[in-house]
Amino acid sequence: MNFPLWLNLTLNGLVLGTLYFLTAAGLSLIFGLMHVLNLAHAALFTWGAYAALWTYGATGNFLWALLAGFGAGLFLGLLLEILFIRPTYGKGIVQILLTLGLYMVLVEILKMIWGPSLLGFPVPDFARGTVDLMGLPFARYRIFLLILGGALFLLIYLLLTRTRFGMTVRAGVENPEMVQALGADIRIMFSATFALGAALAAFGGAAAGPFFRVVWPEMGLNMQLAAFIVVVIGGMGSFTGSAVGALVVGLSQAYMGYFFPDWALMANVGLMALVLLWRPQGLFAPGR
Amino acid sequence: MTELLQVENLQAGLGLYRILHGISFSAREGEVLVLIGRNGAGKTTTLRSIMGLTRILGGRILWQGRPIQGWPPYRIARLGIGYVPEDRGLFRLLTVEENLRLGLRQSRLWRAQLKRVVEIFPDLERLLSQRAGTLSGGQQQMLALARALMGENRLLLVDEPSKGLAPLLVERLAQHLKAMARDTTILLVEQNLPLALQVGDRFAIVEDGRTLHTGPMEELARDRNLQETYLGVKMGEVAR
Repeated sequence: MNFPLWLNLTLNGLVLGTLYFLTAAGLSLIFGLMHVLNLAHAALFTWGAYAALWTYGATGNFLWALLAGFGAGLFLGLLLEILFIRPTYGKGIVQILLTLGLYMVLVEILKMIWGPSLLGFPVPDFARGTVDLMGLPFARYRIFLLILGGALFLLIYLLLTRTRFGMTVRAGVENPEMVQALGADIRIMFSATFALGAALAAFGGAAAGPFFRVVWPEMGLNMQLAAFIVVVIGGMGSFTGSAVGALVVGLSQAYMGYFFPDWALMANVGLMALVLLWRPQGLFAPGR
Repeated sequence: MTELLQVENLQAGLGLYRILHGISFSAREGEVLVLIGRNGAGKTTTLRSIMGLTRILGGRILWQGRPIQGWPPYRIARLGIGYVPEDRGLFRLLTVEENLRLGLRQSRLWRAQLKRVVEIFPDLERLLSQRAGTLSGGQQQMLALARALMGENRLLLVDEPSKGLAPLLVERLAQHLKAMARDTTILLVEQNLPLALQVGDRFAIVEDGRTLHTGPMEELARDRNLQETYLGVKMGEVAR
């Protein structure tokens, strides 16, 4: 394998990893803190993409589109937590069925508004075209995604490590009872974390629109499957684990997709199985 | 001395299983009240119930005369009640500094409170950037107590702090608790008699989820029968 091809595949893997990370980070934090396996996460990803497409069409400004995606996720996440998740804390099986049902309802609402077909999502002007990477073309938008993903990782990392909110969330993942005994209102923390996780997924959907060039109502499903693999590999509740897991899965997808396309998904599932055998709690799982 | 906390005929349990059948005592401002009793008598459940971590099935808990039973734990904590559980409740993946900061009520008081806490636990100052999970047992106990102090709490509920500590460390722990008691009321669950006698002002005996007797610490120091029955001290053993 020559170096330019290797570089191209690696960068593509990192771009995929960025999208997986945005979906998986919220999923992981929500499960780690609240023990909620949110199967509606895929729908939040998709809602972010549609909200961004609608806003982009209305304003022509991609920054507003990204913010609309984030905002839609924040609002929907808060709504879902207060109306449906909060009354069912501690009821694992009820939550799984409930979030699965919510996924279906949210996707059907999208179909009612925008129809079931693919809708084109144009690449914003500033990121159109390709750059030459040692003789191989590489889409500008993918470079933008890499920068965006890196910046967002840094931002959330700072939020989790440098603010009292982040410190409380990390402590809550380890010992939610003690966090309450120290004076933190766990309900507010749960709502905020759920909304943040939903907003990250929706932001991922918004950013993924021009990457896929189209949006469709079930677009979140594949992302969710990959995100679950990422979370199992990285460890439930670990933000760093989500980032590392996402990059591993993204890179494996890119390499396998090029050399053995039929085995790409199999490789990721195999990777997950290996981690489960060697370290069932995931590579970076916080201790309890 | 005014009564800070009154517990009246407290009943509590897990699900349908009732653990406390009638706990009554009061903690006066500035004192160290020690709950003693055999394993499984209901001492830990009493502390957890006061903190709002166990379901209350009956009775009352009064904070300065105001009923607080059934309140969520965060509201109880914000009254100025700190809790140091038996397992210390530390966040092992967080640093010592982060653990201490989580004990603070107001972030702007960090420096002032740290200074106050370091006066009692000087060792913690050099461990601030270390993860709590990497500390020794004695250091972890210090951190758990220090974190409870950071919140300027008026009452501390401390559950078996000497558990798992070497005798030399228990002696140091006694000094720490005495220093903490200078400006905080402490409700202490403790099975280590010398430690209880050294720091306690009064004691309450808990047996089968009920309080049987309360009295001044001198009474417990004198009464070998009480020591043998509720603390497992054998006749002929030196209490102090």
